[in-house]
Amino acid sequence: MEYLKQAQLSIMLFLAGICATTSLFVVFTKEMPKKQKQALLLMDIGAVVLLIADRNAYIYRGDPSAAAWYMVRVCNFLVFFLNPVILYGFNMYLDDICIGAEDRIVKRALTIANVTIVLSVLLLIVSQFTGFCYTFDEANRYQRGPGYLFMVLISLLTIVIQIYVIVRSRKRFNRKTLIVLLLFSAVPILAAVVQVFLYGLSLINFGLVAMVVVLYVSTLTRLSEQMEAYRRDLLAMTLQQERVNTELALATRIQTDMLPNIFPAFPDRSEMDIYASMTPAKEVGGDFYDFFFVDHDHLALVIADVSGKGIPAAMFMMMAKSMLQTQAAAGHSPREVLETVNRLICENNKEKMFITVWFGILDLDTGLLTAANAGHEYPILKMPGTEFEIVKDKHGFVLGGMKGMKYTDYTLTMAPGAKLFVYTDGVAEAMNAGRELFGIDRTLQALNAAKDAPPEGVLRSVDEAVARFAGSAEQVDDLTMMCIEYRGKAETKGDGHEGTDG
Amino acid sequence: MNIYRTINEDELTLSLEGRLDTLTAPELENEIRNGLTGVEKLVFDFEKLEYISSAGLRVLLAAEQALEEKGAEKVRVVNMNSTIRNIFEITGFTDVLAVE
Repeated sequence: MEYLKQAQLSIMLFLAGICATTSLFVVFTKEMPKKQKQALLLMDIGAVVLLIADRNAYIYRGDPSAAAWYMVRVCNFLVFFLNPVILYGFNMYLDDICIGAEDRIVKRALTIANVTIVLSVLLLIVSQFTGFCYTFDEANRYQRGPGYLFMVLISLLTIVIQIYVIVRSRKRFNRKTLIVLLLFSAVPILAAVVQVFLYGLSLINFGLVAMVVVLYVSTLTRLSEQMEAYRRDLLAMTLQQERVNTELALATRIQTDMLPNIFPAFPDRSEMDIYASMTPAKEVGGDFYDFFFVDHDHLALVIADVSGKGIPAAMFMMMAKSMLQTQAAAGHSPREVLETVNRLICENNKEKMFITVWFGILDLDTGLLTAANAGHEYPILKMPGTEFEIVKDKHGFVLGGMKGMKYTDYTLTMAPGAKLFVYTDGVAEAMNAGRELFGIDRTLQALNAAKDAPPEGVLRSVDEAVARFAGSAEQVDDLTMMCIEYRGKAETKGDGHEGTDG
Repeated sequence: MNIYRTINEDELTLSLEGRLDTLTAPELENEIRNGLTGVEKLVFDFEKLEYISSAGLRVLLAAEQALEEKGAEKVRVVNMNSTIRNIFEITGFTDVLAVE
């Protein structure tokens, strides 16, 4: 016991050193939330000053000199002042780790705890004039005053409230944190009780200081564990994203390959020349074109635009493309094809996606084009010797919109040399940085600029015009177009005999 | 985009301001899904609507179908600008909704 009293001064210096170092660590810890950092710093620096003050209070006790007179009063004041300050720091800490104290009762309890702290400080100030907490006798020795016990009890009350808050919020913490928090409160209480009976041993202060250090270590450990968890989550998410990107890239390739994209498409057929392109805005798009032979002399032509973008539109597009092909192959007219496909789509259309379609069948013998339009952009036709002009064909409703819609067949005669241009709204709705639309007029301009070129040249002209117009602005919608030139009925086989014998 | 609701007995008028496209369509969809109780007539006022995309058309279609299920009149659309009228004509929406 006596040895402890004597070694006490050195122990205090030692502890002060530890707390000072800990505060330095707190300052440089990046990963700590701001409020917790401030709370720990307050407690740590408070602990340092508390220890030094307490130490000096002991050193100058009973010293009759003038310097000692001041030191004793200042240091004892500091000791009594810093106890509530450190408890306030703990309040700040609790407020933060109880996650903003959403529990109204917790918030109120912490407020009451703060009130008791203010009360302690007020009593301390009053005590300077009335000697309530402590006095100094003629030999300049600190004596406990009549209200000393009362001061201790107020501090105990603060701690009891803090224990209540911790216990009430216990679900938020893991076991380690919970134990540390309870220790922080329990140890000073124990020390206070013991110290009431034993003067000369700064148990409360030692207890407080030890707990401040333990708290710092526990905070750091908890933060470390949190960081590890975040890192693991981030890694898992990144891997997931990688997988999604790979599959999206694959889906894009599959979709692109689905549209006929080998040109020249039918090199053995001289009756027509056809070229088409689809540039999706997102990786996978909802626009598509299609062309295929229904029989030897009839070529089916499709251009379509699915409402929406991305994977849902792409899936819908593939289904529609397949349905149109099947119906056309059965030999139905464009109107019948659209009506049947509309019925099929409406039967299974919970997402209520719709699709605009222009569907035509070109008779390669006669150049007669039979077509029907389900809510799609007007086709643009150039007859030989004239310019590209809009064909205001009759429009039925979009496919997939409503059951039982009717469509109308119409015919156009394509003379040899005539060109038909069909497209989706991505062309006219291409935007530049000034949010202007490319528009139908500019489309016609670009078409007529290349009116004598083969289909590929026609498409390129429009492509380049859109690119020049859009500039750096991002492509918002799929850009899809198709152009077919009718060259006239094929020369019948056998004419080639003319130059040969027999 | 801003949506303004005006109720006149059982007729609801939704005035749209701005653009009805992929980004803003969900707002309107929400409004329609939750706000049609007791509504027998639905009117869209497009005076301040600058642009409509296929996503917007989808929502209009859904509104029309919701009303149709109730046995109510067709959805009315008023005060369209020429761009939007053109879109309605091309897609055939002029026949499906009551366009003025």
